[in-house]
Amino acid sequence: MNVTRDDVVTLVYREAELFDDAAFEAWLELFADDAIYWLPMRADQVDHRVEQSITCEDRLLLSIRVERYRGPRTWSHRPQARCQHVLQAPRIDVFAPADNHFQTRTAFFYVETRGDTSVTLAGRVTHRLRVAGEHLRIVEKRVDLVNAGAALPPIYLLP
Amino acid sequence: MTDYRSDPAAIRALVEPERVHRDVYIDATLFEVERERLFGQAWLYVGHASQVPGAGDFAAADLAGEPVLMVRDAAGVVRVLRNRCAHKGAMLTSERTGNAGRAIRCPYHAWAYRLDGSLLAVPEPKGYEGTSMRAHETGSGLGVLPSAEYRGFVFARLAAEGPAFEAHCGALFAAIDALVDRSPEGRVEVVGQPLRNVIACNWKIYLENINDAMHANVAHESAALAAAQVWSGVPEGTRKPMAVEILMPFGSGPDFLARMGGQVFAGGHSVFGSNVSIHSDYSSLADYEAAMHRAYGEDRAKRILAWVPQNSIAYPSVAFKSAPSTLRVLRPLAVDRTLVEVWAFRPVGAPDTLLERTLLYNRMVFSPMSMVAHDDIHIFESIQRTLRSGGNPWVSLHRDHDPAEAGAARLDTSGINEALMRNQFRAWVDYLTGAGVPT
Repeated sequence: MNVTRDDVVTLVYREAELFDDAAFEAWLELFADDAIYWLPMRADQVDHRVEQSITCEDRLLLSIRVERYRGPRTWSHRPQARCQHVLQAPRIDVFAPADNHFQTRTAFFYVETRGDTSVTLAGRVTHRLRVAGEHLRIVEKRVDLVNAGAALPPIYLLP
Repeated sequence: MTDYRSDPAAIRALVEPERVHRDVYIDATLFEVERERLFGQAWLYVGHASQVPGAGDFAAADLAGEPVLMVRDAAGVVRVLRNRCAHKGAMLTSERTGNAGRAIRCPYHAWAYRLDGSLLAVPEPKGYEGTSMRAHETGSGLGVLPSAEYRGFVFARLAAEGPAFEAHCGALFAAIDALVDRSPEGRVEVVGQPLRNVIACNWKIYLENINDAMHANVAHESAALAAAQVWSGVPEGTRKPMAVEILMPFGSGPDFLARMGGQVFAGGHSVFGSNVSIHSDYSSLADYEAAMHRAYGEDRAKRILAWVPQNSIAYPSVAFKSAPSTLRVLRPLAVDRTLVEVWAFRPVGAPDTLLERTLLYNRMVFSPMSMVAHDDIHIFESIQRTLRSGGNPWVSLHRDHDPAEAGAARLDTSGINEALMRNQFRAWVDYLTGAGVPT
């Protein structure tokens, strides 16, 4: 696959859009088998294995997460939580087809709502991408909330 | 409206042997009375000494609205000081951790305090000559709270007078040992900063749930089912991942829950899962067990590794686990808002896998993004809303009640006996009605 800069940016938008549309299975397909979704507790955190993170989920945990969203007895998602990502234009920080490595940085707003309540979060997301087979896939989605260290309310979906 | 502040009989009437009145969760005056008489008198968890390893290191904490600093001085002594300048009341620091150097300096007028809290210097001191500043409380520096440390865990008391720490919390020392002894070197260290959750419910709703076996396979069926579903699609012979090993036991049925066992101690304290817990069947690590055998001898090591209580509560502020190595601190913010801090510990000398499991557990079960906590928080917040509504004003604590339990200093019972919650309320009444701090 010959990756263009457009492909990279499109994937970032598509990732948010599929999740916002609750197309969880299609969304999950965008992630490589060894991918992680990571939401650290501070911007300069480099390793999720030696200190706490707000979340860090591999494909298995992401699969359990979306399975649970759809589960018949997942009372905390009745009514179903919904969300909207509002993304700034992604900036491509690394475009290295020879190394099969692409990286973007995207500022965002995120609103999540359940019933009559809503939570608003903001920050920046870093996507690391690579080509696997015929597709560009997400290897890591790292979300740095601007208030990651603050006391947080429950966040039911994924910023 | 009942004036709970001046009416101990009205407070006593809220707690019957088998039920409690909704006002204990929703009445704003009662929350203020709790701050004064319960959190104001009980030994409260502040932090772990490893948060302040060096001279001048401080860690801030909030004790039910009272800002404090845990500070280590040059001689290595850890004290708990009020984070409040004696001059005008400014907070000495708004940071959660840091190093004060040799003195704590107020950012407002540069009053400076030694690390033991005493007043070191004020600017332009001549202005205080001939005044009563030195004779008044102002001159005696930062308030120093009575504090005590057990195996690195630091507790403090806001009241100057009261029972000794050992008399109040001694029943829980075995549960703290269970956590610390899992280190082959017999010590644990804090790992970084805590997860911090704000939950729109009264602190007691959260605390009771920590002892609530019967909700697990109902509320958390969502997570256990999803894990089982995803796991069933994995090829046979695949090694069970830690995440699945952690989630599946949340679906354990009532027989298991009853067998878990519970211990109840005077003062509101308890050990839930005193026989067996959802942590008991985590896969063992040969290297680690060998290190434990070398450190403690085979018999003692086996006893340490076999005892994995689910939650041990030092009432009213903290709940320990031993494996995973974690604790939760309740920091009440308002009658309907509670901050829950979740700390992770490294058992020193144990393999990194144990820390990985603790970090994974905390993320999956206690974080603001945890799929397990969501089940609970959704319910807690709904309880906080509905208790304000009409209908039956009583909350049920009937299960397995035995009138003889009230006078017992200790009770060993089943994991599903609501005695663990009734015991919290007996202590609550004692604190709030001035019957004395329970020991």
